[in-house]
Amino acid sequence: MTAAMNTRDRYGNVAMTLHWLIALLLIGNLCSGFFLANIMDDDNPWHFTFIQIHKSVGLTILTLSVLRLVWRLVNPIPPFPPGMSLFLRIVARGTHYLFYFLIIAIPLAGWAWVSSSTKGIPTHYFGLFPWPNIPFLADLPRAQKIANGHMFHAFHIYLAYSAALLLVLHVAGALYHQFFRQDEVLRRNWFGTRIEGRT
Amino acid sequence: MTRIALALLVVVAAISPAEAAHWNVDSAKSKLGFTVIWNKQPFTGVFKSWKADIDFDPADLGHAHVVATIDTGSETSDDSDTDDGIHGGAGFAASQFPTATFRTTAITHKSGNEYVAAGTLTIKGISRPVTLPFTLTFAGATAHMLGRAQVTRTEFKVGTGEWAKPDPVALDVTVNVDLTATKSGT
Repeated sequence: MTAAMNTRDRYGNVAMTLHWLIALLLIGNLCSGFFLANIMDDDNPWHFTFIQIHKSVGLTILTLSVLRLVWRLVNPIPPFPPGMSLFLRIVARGTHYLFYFLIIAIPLAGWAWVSSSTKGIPTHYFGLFPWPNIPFLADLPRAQKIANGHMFHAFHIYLAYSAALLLVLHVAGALYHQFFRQDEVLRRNWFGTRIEGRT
Repeated sequence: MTRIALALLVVVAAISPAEAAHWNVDSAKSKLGFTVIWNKQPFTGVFKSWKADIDFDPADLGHAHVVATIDTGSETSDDSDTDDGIHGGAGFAASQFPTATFRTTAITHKSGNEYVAAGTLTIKGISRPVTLPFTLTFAGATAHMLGRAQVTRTEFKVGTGEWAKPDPVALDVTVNVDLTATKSGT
């Protein structure tokens, strides 16, 4: 049974749950976002519902990611496996820090984009309750909102493409550890696996 | 022989309907657009491409006739994202219905420079009667027309699905016409 908190050897249940849940939601929203922007016809009767789901998932990612960042700051993190070069350590840490930035910045940019919309379409969180717009942005004059909308749209899209690229790098890193280096990096982030403690 | 031909010509001229004057729209000085309350604020769109075929003589309104043809995809506002939605299937469906038309059925004189054009507006293939009150001022061979018509957008299925509700886009749309034309052949 894995503990809730991280130990010096492995990730705990909370960190792992947040990692895999956010991973699933992020991949889902990268796909649905690409689909919305490039494939789905705007005239499709499901377009509206699809956007609402995309927004709800994004806001879930934002909430979980803020919690995850807090959890990360109050928990120890397992060390690098022995023998990793300085370059690889920088790449690994850099990837993780960038991911923390992106999983907060992408939904935030999306929320800012929606808040700058002049169309007045409310966001309903999975049809449960209305999610507010960011008041400061929503209250700006119309011309400013249109300009901001284009800017936040660009942020949202380019940050999302960055996340897709980073995801490839991150998965490649995990596979490199698992199959090439054959260390415990992937196992210590999976539920119930036994990690040999280092003294 | 010549006299018979001449007599025929006189008869033909007498029975053929009087030709109302034809007018050419000065598109640089003319504007066709609409205003609707959208998200509690007025939203204004203009049509960049439209034409009007105008036969009009104030002294002979019985023969007055106007056909306006509007390219629905030419609607333009200050927000290109909104315009994309308006041109799309939930709006004008410009790819399926590239034009909207207004054909007058009768033009009547109210008083002074005030007139009323009764006609048929066709948007998205749906035709409804619409009245367009307008004022007309002449300056030599040039006429300036200002008109305003009230249209209920949902009668023409402009705004379907989520957009069929009166919120955030009101159902009543004001169509504004500001038209300057010069008399043909002058």
